This record gives sequence, structure tokens and C-alpha cells, in this order.
Amino acid sequence: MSVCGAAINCEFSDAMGISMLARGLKALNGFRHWLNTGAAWHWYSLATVTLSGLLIAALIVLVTSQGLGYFWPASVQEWVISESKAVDSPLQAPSSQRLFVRVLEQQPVVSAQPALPADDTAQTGLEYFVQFQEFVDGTANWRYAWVEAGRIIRVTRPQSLLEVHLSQGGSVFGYPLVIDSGEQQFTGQALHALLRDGGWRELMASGEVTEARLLLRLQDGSDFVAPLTTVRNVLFPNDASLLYRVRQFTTSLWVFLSTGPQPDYQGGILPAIYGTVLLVLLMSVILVPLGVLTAVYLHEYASNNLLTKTLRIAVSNLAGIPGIVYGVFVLGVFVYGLGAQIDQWFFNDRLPLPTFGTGGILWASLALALLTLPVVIVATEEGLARVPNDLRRGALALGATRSEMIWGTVVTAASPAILTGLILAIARAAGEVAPLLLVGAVKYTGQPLLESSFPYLHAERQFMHLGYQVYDFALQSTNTYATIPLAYATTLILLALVILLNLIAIRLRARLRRRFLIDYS
Amino acid sequence: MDTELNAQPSLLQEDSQNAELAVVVRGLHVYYGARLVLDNISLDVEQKQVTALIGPSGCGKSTLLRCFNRLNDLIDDCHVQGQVRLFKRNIYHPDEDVVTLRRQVGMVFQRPNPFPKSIFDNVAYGVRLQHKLGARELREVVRWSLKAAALWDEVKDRLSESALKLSSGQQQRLVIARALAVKPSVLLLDEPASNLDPISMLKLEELITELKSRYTIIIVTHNMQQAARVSDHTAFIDQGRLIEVSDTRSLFTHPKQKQTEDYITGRYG
Ligand SMILES: Nc1ncnc2c1ncn2[C@@H]1O[C@H](COP(=O)(O)OP(=O)(O)OP(=O)(O)O)[C@@H](O)[C@H]1O
Ligand SMILES: [Mg+2]
Repeated sequence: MSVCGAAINCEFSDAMGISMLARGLKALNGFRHWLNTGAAWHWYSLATVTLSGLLIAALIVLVTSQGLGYFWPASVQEWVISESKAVDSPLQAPSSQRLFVRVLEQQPVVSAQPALPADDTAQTGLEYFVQFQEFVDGTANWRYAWVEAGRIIRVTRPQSLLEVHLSQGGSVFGYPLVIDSGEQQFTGQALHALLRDGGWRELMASGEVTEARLLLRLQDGSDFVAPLTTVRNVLFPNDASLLYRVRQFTTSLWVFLSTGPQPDYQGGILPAIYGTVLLVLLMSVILVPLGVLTAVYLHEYASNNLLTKTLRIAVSNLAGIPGIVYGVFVLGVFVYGLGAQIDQWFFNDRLPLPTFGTGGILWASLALALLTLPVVIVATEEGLARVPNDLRRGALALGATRSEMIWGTVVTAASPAILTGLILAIARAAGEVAPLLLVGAVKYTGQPLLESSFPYLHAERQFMHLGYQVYDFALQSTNTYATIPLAYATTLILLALVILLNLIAIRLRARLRRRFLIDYS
Repeated sequence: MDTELNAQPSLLQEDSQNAELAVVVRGLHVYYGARLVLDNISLDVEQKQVTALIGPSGCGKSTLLRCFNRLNDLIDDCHVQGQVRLFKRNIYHPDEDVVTLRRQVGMVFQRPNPFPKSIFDNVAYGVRLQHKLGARELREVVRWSLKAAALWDEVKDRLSESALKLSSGQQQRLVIARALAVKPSVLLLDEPASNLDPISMLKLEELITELKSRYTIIIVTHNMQQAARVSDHTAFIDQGRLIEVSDTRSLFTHPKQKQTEDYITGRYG
């Protein structure tokens, strides 16, 4: 067989084999030499950097695109669908013939059963996941359904279709027919311009016409009357103008950032932004003194014996404890223990209603402070270790006591390192949700944390938190189709907030470094 | 060691009659761990005079200097035996308050070690620890100290800048100013001129001569000319032993020990 063929070329291939071997060896030597120069490390590190950079970039792109996409006006289509299928569909299929829908997803039909031979629309092969409205007792409810492409008879994107956000929550799709202000009626072009350019607000704000109403034609042909005072915002989702869309985008982003939550996932997350910032600030106020004192004790006062080393290792390993454990700890020891005691001593009149004996922003920030304590301790110790001993001797030689030396000189010199610790701690804490679940983070609270009258800060109150909102939107929702985009949007805001908080700390640190020109920390 | 310590009483009685002495060292041994680095040093330092310590690198000059303000206490494995008396007070006595001692004995380190603070705060550091001075008085003290250290003209417009921005020569003068500001009675200078240009060095020497009227100065230097110029007394140390001490002129012109002669004429080693 092939052995014969090989035998014929035996000599030839031998010679070639040797020269190839030599060349191979040479190449191998060259490669080994190259390895020995260490140049390969350059490429390893570059590859690693690229990989982690790509992963982070992908995450940021995902969060940003999904998060910002939530604010971009999504078009609304008008569908006419055949009604026959609606009856035998197991899904909650639309029953009306004309529908205003927002397409959320599309996919090829995945059906376990072969299409029935009588079914002439099965070949189209696509199905859409849509959001549409259903009216129950005059209020619009969102419904969701998969609709097979075959059932759709006609699709249009009417430019004049209006989306009306109501102030008590919910929104309505419809064709605007008329605004009736009592003395004046706007229809046609005038009505369109009024609604598109925000003129309707003036009509509402003018005050003289309290009865101004907007008349809409709904998908089923019936009319919907909305007094302008109940309208929060209107927009034409299919308007072709980019400028108009950008304006709507900024408006809804601004509404999201600057208002409180509304029923039906309208409104914004301002109280959660508030709560998060306040939580992080309170945490820092608890964290920095605790962490710095501990680190200074470990590094400056304690002699470097076995006990100190054990303590140090213990502290570093605290960082490995899951966040929820801190929540449980604070709940058990501080909320039910200390908090209940405080209530008995100072808030006896309010019992059995707890004041500090229940979750609140103070306890939550304490849990976060404990959680991030190792970071600050380790960073501060590193900073202290980098302060040259000459500095300590210099201070002592000038007649400073040990404490004056430590607090007046050494800690100042280590202050950038302390800030580095704080920066890391903030980054860790701002996104942490688990410990907050038990100690006061809530989906919604009407009680503000800050008030303009004494005692200004209500540290005992429950609070809203961006991370908790994300958790709630993503995992606790009964209507994930509506809340997943919200979770992305909230994540984006949280990310931006963490970056902002960190930038502030980084600038502070840069200023300290510049001021002292400290190059050893 | 004990026997050597016991051998000292006669000496102690002798010098206690001498009121001119600022520092008296008797039978001083210093160990780093088990290593003996200062071996039975006995030395008298006269008040309001300049005493120079010379000797090859690593012979223990800095270590000896640190014994005068007990800065060796900070070094974990450093043990000191023997007596160091400052104005007749045994500074290694357990009741000695090191903070008071260090306010009395100023020190300038071999390497400049300004604090990461402004120039002003550096100079004012020691003063602030001791007295509650008004802003004007404090500024006056800072100005005086910087002038005395021949740095004032260079920094008078940038007192609030970080001291770490200064060149190392300027930093050296800054730490001298810092030590002067607390007005110590004894000033220890560990190679204060090692980072200075010739002109600053001469200025510093002038300063030392000037300060002599008020302070007792002990200066470590590797520069023989400098020792000869500024000091009244010179002590030569080699390998932890005090080889010779006498007034500067006779030490440099008629050294009694062969070792000393070799060292000052550059034949050492
Ligand atoms: N902290 C320390 N721990 C252990 N050994 C030390 C320590 N400091 C100094 N030594 C040792 O003690 C000896 C004397 O050191 P010292 O610094 O006093 O010398 P020096 O005369 O000042 O030298 P130089 O002129 O180079 O400054 C040296 O051999 C040095 O290695
Ligand atoms: Mg030295």
C-alpha cells in the first residue's frame, strides 16, 4: 500500500528530513532565545490586557446601549390582524382587529407540531412579541403576546399616532382628534403642532381654561377623553424627525433622573439616586475613621508580633465574607439589639412602632462600612508602610510625642493611600445590594431622608437604592418585559454615579498629592 | 560590660565638677542585635563649642549622635549600655522624658527629611508643638530660622508650597531651619553639608560659627577641611571605638595616634 510509495522516496526524504530537522532545531533555538529575552511577557500581558479590556468594554456597551435605548422613543405600529386565530390561541391573544403595538422581539416560529395542512399562514415562519394596550373600565393596561406573522394583515406606522402619558400613571395610544379648551377648538394641523411643540402645556398652564380636554381615537374606534391637567407628557412615537426624537430622548432621560417613581413604571428614580449617594456618604463617614484608626493601630502602635499578624490576616480575609452575612449580622446585632434598646430609651412613646429597631439607612451604611472596612484598612496600612522612617524620626527629633508624630505627620503623608482605599470601598459598596436587603432598602418609600427642619437627616428611615431597584426590576418583577429595560437604565445610572463619586475622590487625591508632592504613596 | 561600667565612678566624679560640659558620655556601648557598633565610648562635649565627629563610613558616628537624643530607642533591636548625661542629667534614666529631651537636643539628619507639608509648616512644626504662638510671632520665628539657615531669600515667596519641591540642598537647609526654630540647647548635625554647593556650605559654616555663641553643636562630617574650619574639638572614631579626641588644631596638626594621622592624611584603609 502506501508503504511501498514511502520506500521509494526513502533516501530523498531522509536527506530532506535531516535538513528540516536542522532547520526546525534552529527555529526552536531561536524561539527559545526569544523566550529567554523575556519579550514573550510583553505579548502575554498585552493579550491579557486586551482580553479584560474587551470584556469590560462589552459590558459597558451592553449596559449603555440597553440603558439608553430605554429612553429612545420606540415606534408604535398599527396592525390589522385576522381575528380567527385569536380564538384558538392559547396565549392571551388580542381580540380586537386593529391594534397599536410596539414590537419587542421577533423570532422564527418554534413549534413542536408540524403546521396543520389547513393552516395557510404557517409558512411565513416569523412571530413577533408585542406590547399592546387593553382597556378595562376605561384604564389602559399593558398586555404582551406572541403574534404569528401570518395573522397580520396590514402594518402601518402612522405619523399622527400619539402616545399620552397620564399623570396618575399609564399611557394611552391613539389618534388625536381635538383639543377643546371651552372657547377654542384645535384640530388638524393646528392640533398636531400644538401637541408636537409643547404648546398644549401653555394651554393647560394658562389657568383660564380649566376644562381643556384632549380627545383621542383609540384602536377599537372608541373615544378617550383626557383632561389636559391629567396629562404628563405627549409624544408622537413615529415622528420621523431626528431632532424631535433626540428631544424626546432627553426629556424622558431627564424625567427619569429628576422625578420620583409613578405607578406602572412611569416616572423616575430620583429618590433612589438620593438614597444611594446618601448611603455612600454615610458609609464613608463611618468607614474612614474606623478603618484609619484600625490601620494606624496595627501599623504604628502595635508591635509586629504574632497577634498583630494574625489580626492583619483576619482583617484581610473579612473581605471574603459574602455581603448578605454582613446584612444578617447588622440586623441581628444592631437593628434588633442596639436599635431596639435605643427605641426603649429614647423613643418609648412610639413603641411598639420601631424607630431604630427596624431597617434604616444608618444600619445599611453600617453594614456597608463593615463590608468595605478591610479595603480601607489594607490600603491605609500599605500607605503607612510607604512613609519613610526618616519622617517619623524627624518628627520625634523635633519633640513630637508619638501621637503627634503619627497624626500630624505620618497619617497626612499616607492620606492619598487612605483615599485610594476609600475609592475602592465606594466602588465596591455602591453596587452592593445583598447586605441592604435586610436592613432597610425598599422598593418604594414616601418618607424623605432629608428634611428642611430638625433633625434634617432621618438616618433611621428606610430608603430607596439604585442597586436595590435593579435587583427588584430584574428579579422581583411580575412583568419583566416592562422592567428589564428599566433595570438596564437604572444600572447605567448607577454606573455613572459610581464613576462620578470615584472621580470626585480621585480629584481629591490628586490635589493632595500635588499639594504635598508625595511620591511614596 | 558590667565590669567596664563599674570602672567609671572615678571619672564621673571628676567631670561632675566641670560645669562647662554639655554632654558627658561614659562607657557607652551600643549593640544592634548582637553586634557591637559602639565600644566603650567616653567623651566630653563642651558647652557652646563645636565638636566634630570624624571617622570612616560605618564607624558609628550617626549611632553615637542618635544616643544624644535617644533616637536609637526607635530601632527595635538596638541596645544601649553606659551613661549619657546632658547638663548633668542622665538621659537614659527610666524617668527621663524623651519628648522634653528631644526639644532640648535638636537634630539634623544625614538625609534631608522634610515633612510632606508646606515650607512654612515644616519650619513651624516643632514650634507649634511646644508653644501656642500668635500668627505674627510664628511667622517671625519661621523667618528668623529660614534666614539663619540661609534659605530665606530663596523661599520667601513660596512658603506655602510643598517642601518636597525644594532641591535636596534646599531641603537640607530647610531641616536645619526646622531644627533651629525650636531653639534647642544642643544641636546635632549629621553631615549637614553633604548636599550643599560650596557657597551654601560656606554659609552653613558661617552659620555654625555664629550659632556657637548660643548652642552646643556636635557635627558629623566627612570633610576634614570643614571639621578643621568650624570645630573647636574633634573626635576620631574608628570601628566603634573612640580613637582620639582633642582640640581641633592639635588633632589635625599633631595627631597622637597613628590611626588618626592616617585617616586625616588620607592614607586610611
Ligand atoms: N538600624 C540598624 N540596624 C542594624 N545595624 C545598623 C543600623 N544602623 C546602623 N547600623 C550599623 O551600625 C554601624 C554604624 O552605623 P552608622 O550609621 O552609625 O555609621 P556612620 O558612621 O554614621 O556611617 P556614615 O558615615 O556612612 O554615615 C554600621 O555598620 C551599620 O551597618
Ligand atoms: Mg552616618
